[in-house]
Order: sequence, then C-alpha cells, then structure tokens
Amino acid sequence: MRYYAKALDIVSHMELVTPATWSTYVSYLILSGIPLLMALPSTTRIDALVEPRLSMLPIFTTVTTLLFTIYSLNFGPVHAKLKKTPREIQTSVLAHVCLLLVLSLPYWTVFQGISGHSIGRVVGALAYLVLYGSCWALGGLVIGLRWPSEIAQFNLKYALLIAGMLGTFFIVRPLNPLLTLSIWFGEGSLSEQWGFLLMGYGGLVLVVLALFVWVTILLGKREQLREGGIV
Amino acid sequence: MRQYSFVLLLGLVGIALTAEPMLAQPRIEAIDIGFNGRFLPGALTPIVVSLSNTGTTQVFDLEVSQEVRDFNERSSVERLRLPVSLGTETRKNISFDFSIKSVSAPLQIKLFAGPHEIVSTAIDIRERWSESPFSLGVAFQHNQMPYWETVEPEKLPKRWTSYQSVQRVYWGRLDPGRLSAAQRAALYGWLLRGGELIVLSGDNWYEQSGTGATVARPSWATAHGWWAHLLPIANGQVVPREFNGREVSWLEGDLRAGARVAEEADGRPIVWELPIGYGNVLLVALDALPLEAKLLASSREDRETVEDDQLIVKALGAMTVRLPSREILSALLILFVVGIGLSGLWAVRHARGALWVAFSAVVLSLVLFGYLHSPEFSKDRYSLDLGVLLGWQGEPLAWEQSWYGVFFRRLHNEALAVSSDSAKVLEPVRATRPSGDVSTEITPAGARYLRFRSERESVRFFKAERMVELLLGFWVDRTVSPPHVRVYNQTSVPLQDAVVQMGEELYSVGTIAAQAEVVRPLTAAINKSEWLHRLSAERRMLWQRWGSSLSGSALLGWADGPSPWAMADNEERTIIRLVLIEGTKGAE
Repeated sequence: MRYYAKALDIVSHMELVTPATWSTYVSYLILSGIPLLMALPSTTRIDALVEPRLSMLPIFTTVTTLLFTIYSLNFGPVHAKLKKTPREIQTSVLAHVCLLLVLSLPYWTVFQGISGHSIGRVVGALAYLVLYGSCWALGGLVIGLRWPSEIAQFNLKYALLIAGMLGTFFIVRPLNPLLTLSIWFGEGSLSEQWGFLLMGYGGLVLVVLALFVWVTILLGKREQLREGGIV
Repeated sequence: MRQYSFVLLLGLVGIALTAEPMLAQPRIEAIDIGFNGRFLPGALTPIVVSLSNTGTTQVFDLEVSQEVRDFNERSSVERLRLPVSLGTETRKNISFDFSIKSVSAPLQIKLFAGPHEIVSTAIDIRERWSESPFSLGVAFQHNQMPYWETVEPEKLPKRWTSYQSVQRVYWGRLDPGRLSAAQRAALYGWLLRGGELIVLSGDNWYEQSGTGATVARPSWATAHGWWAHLLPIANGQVVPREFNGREVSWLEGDLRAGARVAEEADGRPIVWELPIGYGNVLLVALDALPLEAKLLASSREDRETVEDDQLIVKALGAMTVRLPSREILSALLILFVVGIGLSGLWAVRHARGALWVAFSAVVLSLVLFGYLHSPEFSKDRYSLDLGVLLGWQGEPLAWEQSWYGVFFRRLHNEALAVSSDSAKVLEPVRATRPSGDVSTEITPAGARYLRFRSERESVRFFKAERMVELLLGFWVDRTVSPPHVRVYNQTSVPLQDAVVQMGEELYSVGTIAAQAEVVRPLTAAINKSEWLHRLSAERRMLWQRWGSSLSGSALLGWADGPSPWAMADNEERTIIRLVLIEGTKGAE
C-alpha cells in the first residue's frame, strides 16, 4: 500500500498531460484507430469470410507499431527541454511511453478479440513494443540533450529511425519490431522462435540500459553545468 | 599371441550377442495390393502388409503414403497411419484400405519406432491400375471369363469399404459357410451400397445351398441364414433339363417376397433378381452365364457423385457466423477517442488527470474484453453435419452417409475423431485456397482420427460412411379402416417431423420420441408443395437429392444425431440427418 501511494505520488508529480503531449496521444489514437475500425468484421456468411480479401489486421499492427515508435521518439527531445532533475526526466519519458500504450489498450483488446490470437501472444507483443518505444524515447532524449538545434534533432531523429527500421531487416533482425510482431501474430509455432524472441527482448533490454546510462551521464553533465551557472 | 586371439574372439562374440537385439528389426515381408495386385484409382483399395519381427516386442507405426501432384504441380500427400504391436518372433498381416489417387506416383510404406523411421519401401504401381471397376469371380475352377479377377474365397475382403472398386461379384461353387462373419457382413454392406452379386447356380447349387438355405426362417447371424436372405428364391432344387441342345442342371424354386424373375427361357425363370438396398442379387439357374451381354448392361447407378459431395460446400457456405457487432465496437472506440480528446482540457489542470484517463482506458478494455469473449462469440468452429440414413424395410443394416463441413476461425492442430467405416477429405470444386494435407490414423480399437492443421478463417470438408443397425421402421396396416401406420424408433434420438409416403401421397406422423412407437391413421394426406415449402434450406437440399425420387412406400424423418464426428471444444454444430426407410419388402 505504501509503495502504491509512493508510485501514485511520483506519477502525480509528473507532467504527463500537457497540451503538447495530449495532442500526441489523441493523434496516435486517431491514426491507429482508422485501420482497426476498417478491420472490424461483421456477422456474415461463411463463404464470404473465406473469400480471399485484404486483411486490415496486419495493417493495424504495422501502423500502430510505426506510430508508437515515432511518438515515443518525439517524447525524448521534448523532455530534454524540461528543467527538472535527471531522475524526474528519465521517469517521465518512460511514463509517457507507458501511458501511450495504456491508452491504446482498448484497441489491442479489440484486436485480440477479432484476430483470435491468445492473450499471451498479445501481451508478449505489447511488452516488446514498450521496450522498443522506450529505446527510441531514450534515444530521442540523448539527441535532445546532445544536439540542441531543432533542425539537427529532426534530421538526426528520422535518419536514425529510418536506418534503424530498414537496417534491422537485414542485420540484428530480432531488434526489428515488424519482424518480431509478425512472429507473435503469425501462424507459426512460437516454440520454434524462442531463440529469436529471446535475442529481441534481451537486445532491447541491453539497449535501454545502455541508453539509460548515457542519458544519466548527459543529464548529470547538464546538471553540473547548471549548478556552475554555465547554462 | 594366442591369448590375444582368444580375447579378440571373446570380444567379437560379446559384441555379436549384445548387438543382436539392437540389429534385429521388424521387416516388411510382403505387400498385397488390391485384387490380384490391381487397383482402381481414387477408390479405397485393400492392402495387406505382412510384417515379421525378430527383435523385442514393440509397438510400431505403419505408415502408407502417396504424394500426388495436380496439374499446377501442387503437391499433396495422402497418408494413413496404423499402430502395430509386434511380439518377438512373430509375423502379422496388417490389412487396411487406402485410396490410391495417382497411377504414377509410388506408394511409400514405412515402419516407424517412435519418431524414427526403421523400414521403408516404395512400390511402383504404374502397371497395376484399372480403368474400370472390377468384376470378381469367386470359387471358379479357372478364369472362365476374361473380364473378371478370380479371387480365392479366403481373400474376399472383411470390410465393405474394400469393395469400393468392385462392381460385380460372380459367385461360383462356394459354400457360404466358408466365409467368415466379417466377410459376409462386408459383402452385404457392399450390396446395400449398390453392388451386384451374380450367383451362378446349376451344378454349383449343391455346394452353394449347403444344408440351411431352404430353412424357412433362418437366422441372419448364421452363414446360411445370411445366404437365404440374399437369394431371390426359397426351396431351391436342381433338376436336369435340356437347354440349347444339351442337358444341364437347372435350378428351380419359389420366388421370395420382393424378388422378381428377371429373365425367362422356354417359359421358365432363368434369372431371378432381388434388390438389396441399392444393390442386386441375381441368381442364375445355370452354372454359366447364358445372357451375358444383358447382365453386363446392368443399370447400376453410380451412387457417389461429385454433386452430392458439393452439397455440404454449398450448405456450409450459406451458414452465418455471429461475430461481435461492428457498430457497437466502432461506437465505443470512437466515443473513447472523443472522450480522450475532451478530457485533455480537464486533465491538464489536475495532477492526477492522466491517471484517471489511463484508468478509464483500462476499464474500457475490460468491458470490450467481456463483450468480445461472451459465449455468443467465443466459438472457434462452426460446423454443419449433413447426413442421410438410408434403410430398407426388412434389411438389418442401414447405410449412413455424413458430410461434415467446418469453418475454423482460429489456427489449430486438429485431431478430428470419426466413428465410421470410411472417411475421406472432400475438396471444393472452386477452392479459394489450397488446404493442407490430412493424415488418417486408425487406432487398434478401430477409432479413426483425421489429423490436419486448420488455418485462420478456413473451411474443411469431409465425408464418412458406415453401416449401422437399422433401428427404425414402419408398417402399414390396411386391414383396418382407415389404414393405420405403425412407426417405431428404437434409436437414442427423436425422429422429427416424420412423414409416411404412400405412392404420391404424404401423411404426417409427427415427431416420434426416442425408444418409442406410434400408430397414426392415414386419413388426410398433406399438401406436398406446402410441406416442401416449410422445410429449411438444408432439409430441402437433402430431400431433393435423396427423397424426391422415391416411389412406393417410405418413411421420411429428420434427426439431429448421432453424429459420427466427435464434437470439439468451442464448436457450434448443426446436425441435419435425413432418415429414409424404403418399404421395399413386406412393408405393407
């Protein structure tokens, strides 16, 4: 109970909702909701259900994954501008990623219901998505701290994002969210893919930790400069 | 040096002794395919595999498979697996039926110990196929007719399904008592399904009649009771007669109820005919075929048509799957997004605003989860079992066919259990996507499992056939006025909406409960077109195929079970079974 109250206190002190971040959440829900609404089936005859047709469910997962990554990435530079303690900035950026996911939970619930995937598979995929989003949020924070110029930030963010997405199709494939989610939401057996998934989750945890350390160093340096009156 | 040689010798003996049980393996001694090695493509073919084992007692898996390629070079594998227990120093004949689809691809026969393949052989079948169904000659001195395959009585099949490639059986000098009960049941099942048995009597009659064929009411279970049931005449006796300028042994007898004289010569019956189900027994008064050409032009219908099999494709396709309402889900999700957008105005001013918004998202997720997983929408499979039970008054067995179509919403590794004599996979004529292979497994207890992988939102179709005890019947009593019909139902399910057909007239009998008997007066005939109009689409479909061509008296009804297909968890099944009992012999 004490920990719960403490966690509540920490979250209450975070600025999770600002006019800027709120529009991020809403636009994320609108953009990812469109393919989901289009994927909703209705009561129909069996011969219509088995006819070959474009399935919107893979489009929903792809769009949602890409948007989640982009919005998570953008949380970083926004937090770099906050004049708060390093701990508060780190916690807040990760809390934003988590809130983005929590707000999309109704979508994933509908996705699970109409796709027929097991709850375990969906939870596994969401855990990956949170880790992946955290990576990019912390990466965005590093960019925001190292390159104050907004033009430099923009170029660097999206160059890295495109390189990261495309590059992981060919090397370190377990770090590609589209490939990993295609395993979770594919029709193959998971038991044959444990190695791939373990590498994916392990790799992401390592990247998050490395970025967390880097962010801590960068924020520490900035704090020292602030205390020294340089910034 | 001598010591070393002795040690070496001892070592070799030791290795030989310890290795012997490991090296001793079961062997495939012989493989007997079809009738005299010949088969009809696409039909179930009897195969006997002789196995021997010099090793330890073990359970093996015998697998028969054939890879078939279609015109698009798409490959599919027909596979059958049977567990076989082989004791030490034993030899066993394993008999089964396998549908050989391709005339060019070899037949693979393998023996597995667990997952390990231990014996494998491929059989070239290219020169063994037949273009037309077989005619078998049983117990003839030599191959009297070029168009039949002479078969030893002991080699006659023990399952009616093994006769699928056989059109006729010619019965020569054979005492029916030489056939086992299984062989007799198999021959009878084949007859019900449309086979033609031609008994050449004359000089063969003494052997054929044995001692019991002329008994007035012989027991069906005995060989001669069974034989008497099949013969169109009773009290048969052979007399010498002159025919075509020479003296021959000529069979005479009293025509049985339901039988007729098919051919006459010099004013005397030479061929009698007795319908058995869809089949016929033709008894020839001589030991040779005098009217060969006429017999060969028999009007045997092909009871298996592609159209019949496509009924299930059509009927399942027309079924509706209830899915969660798109409107409700859309409305909830849109309201949620609008709510999030509006709550932002409030949330930015309150410290814990974001938490309340997150909490509302979690609550909505739980509500949606409850709705999506309500029992109404939680079915994984939607299936339809269309069946026809065809019985003939006076026959102890009925022929049951069941077409099973199933729609899968999810991906599964399926093991569909079916209690039938035969089961096959049906391919829709216009398949929208290729379906994967189905492997059949028959357990030692005779249970049949069809193993396959179901894809998401896919359909599969199967057909099963079996011979079952006829537990339904009717009897019209015309000695009273108005005439009455007595209908009994000794099955475990009610016979619904039963009607009795008398010529062109239909009389409603109503629903007859399980294990019950009803008597109804045949007073007011019902309007046939109205009755037809009231039938559901599936019922009408079955009636039009199987019931519309009926003439004479018959009992028609509907049952929703029992289904030969085992019910899976999370399956919603509709069973529609047309029960059709023809009053062919002594019904009135």
